[in-house]
Amino acid sequence: MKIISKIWLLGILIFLAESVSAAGEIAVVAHPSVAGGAVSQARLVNLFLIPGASWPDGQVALPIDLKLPSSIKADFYQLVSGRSQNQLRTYWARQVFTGAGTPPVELNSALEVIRKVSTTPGAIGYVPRDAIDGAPVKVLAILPDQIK
Amino acid sequence: MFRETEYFHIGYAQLAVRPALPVYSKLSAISHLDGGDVRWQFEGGDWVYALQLFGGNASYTHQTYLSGYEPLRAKVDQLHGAVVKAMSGNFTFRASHTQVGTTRYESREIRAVNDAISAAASGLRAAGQAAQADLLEAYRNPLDSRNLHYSSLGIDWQPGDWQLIGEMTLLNPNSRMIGVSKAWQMTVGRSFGNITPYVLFSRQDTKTPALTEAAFAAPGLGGLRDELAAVIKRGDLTMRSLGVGVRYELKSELAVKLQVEKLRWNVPYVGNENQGGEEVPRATLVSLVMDFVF
Repeated sequence: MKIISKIWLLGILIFLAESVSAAGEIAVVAHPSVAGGAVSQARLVNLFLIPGASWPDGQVALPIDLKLPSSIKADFYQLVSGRSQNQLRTYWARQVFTGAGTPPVELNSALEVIRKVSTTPGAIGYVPRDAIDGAPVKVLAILPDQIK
Repeated sequence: MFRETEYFHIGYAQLAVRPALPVYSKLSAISHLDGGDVRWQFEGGDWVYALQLFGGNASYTHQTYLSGYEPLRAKVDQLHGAVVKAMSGNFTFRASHTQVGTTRYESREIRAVNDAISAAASGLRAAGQAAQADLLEAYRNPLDSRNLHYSSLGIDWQPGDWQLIGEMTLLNPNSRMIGVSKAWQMTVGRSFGNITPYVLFSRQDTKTPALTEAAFAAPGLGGLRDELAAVIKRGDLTMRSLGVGVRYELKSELAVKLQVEKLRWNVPYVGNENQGGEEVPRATLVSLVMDFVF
C-alpha cells in the first residue's frame, strides 16, 4: 500500500513539474506554408521588429502580437530581443514617426493568434505551448529552450 | 538625413532629452521636404537591408536667435540623397549621403549687405577697378551655398539591457561663409527595470572659411569686411558636450527624463553681442522633461 502511495505521489509531482514547465514555455508558430524550419534569434527579432521583413523565400512576414497585459508578450520580447515593453514602445514610436512602419497587429487571445496564423500565409505569432494542441500551424521554436 | 523626420521632434522616441546639439543643431532646421522617396528592402541570411532614395525641395524659416535680426527665410532646392541600412536582431548600421543643389537665404539684413556690396561694387567699377568689384560681388547673398554635401554613418545597438547609439556626420556647405563641419556623438544607456541612466558625448569641429581680403582692400570697405567676418565667426559652431541623464518610465507611454549636460564652445560668444553679449564659452544645461505619445 505504501509503495502504491509513493508511486502515486511521484506521478503527481512529475505531472505538476511538467505542467509548470509547459505553462512557462512559449511556442513560436507560423503559417504552414512558410519556408524553412527553425529560426535564429536574430531572424525572430527581424520578423517582429523590422516592418516589411520577409521569410527566406521572399514571402512578406505578418507578425502578430498578443495584446497586453499578456505576460506572454512581455516574456516573448524579453527572451527574443532583450527589450522590455517600455523599450519596445520607444522603439515603435521611432519607427512610426520615421514612417518606417507600425507595430504588429495585436489579437486578444492565443486562440485568436492561432486562428489567424493558421489561415494567413506568411503569418507568425507566439502562444503558450499548451495552446497549440494540434492546431494546423508550423512550430518554429519553443522558447526559452530553442533560442539560439 | 537620417534624423530629418518627425522623429527628430518626438522626445519619447529618444533615449536622451534631445538629439545631441553638436551633431544635429545644423540639421534640425529642415523640418519637411516637398518631394518623394522610394524604399527598397531585401534580405540576406539574418540581415535585412534597406535602401531609401529621396529628393525634393524645402522652404523654412531659420531662426537666428539674435535680437533685432530678422529670421532667415531659407529655400532649399534639388535636395536628393540615399540612406542605406543594415539590420540584424538588435543591431542597426546606417549610412547616408545627401546633396543639395542650391540653398538660398533671404532677410532684411542680407538685403542690406547686398545693397552695400552693390553700391561699393558700382563705385569700384566707376573707378576702373572691375576685378575687385567682381571679387566683392561674390559676397552678395553671403550665406547661400551651392552643391552642399552631407554624409553620415550611424549605429544603434541594443544588447539586452544596454543601448548604444552613435553617429558621425560630415557637412560641407560649399559656402563662402559657412565652414565645413565634422561631428559625432555617442550615447550609452543601461536599463534597470523602468529606469535607464545614460551618458552622452558629442562634439563638432568647424573649419571656418577665410574672407578674400583682396575684395575689401578698397578704402571704406573695412566695416563691411568686419561685419562679414563676424557672420563667419558666428557660424563657427565648434563645440563639445558631455552629459548624464536618467529616463524613468513613469507610466505606459509616459517618460520623465532628467539630464545635465556640459556644453563648451570655441567661439568667444554665443548669443546676442548687440546687447553686450557676454562671453559664454561654457554652459551647463539642466533639463527636466516629460515625454509622452498617444
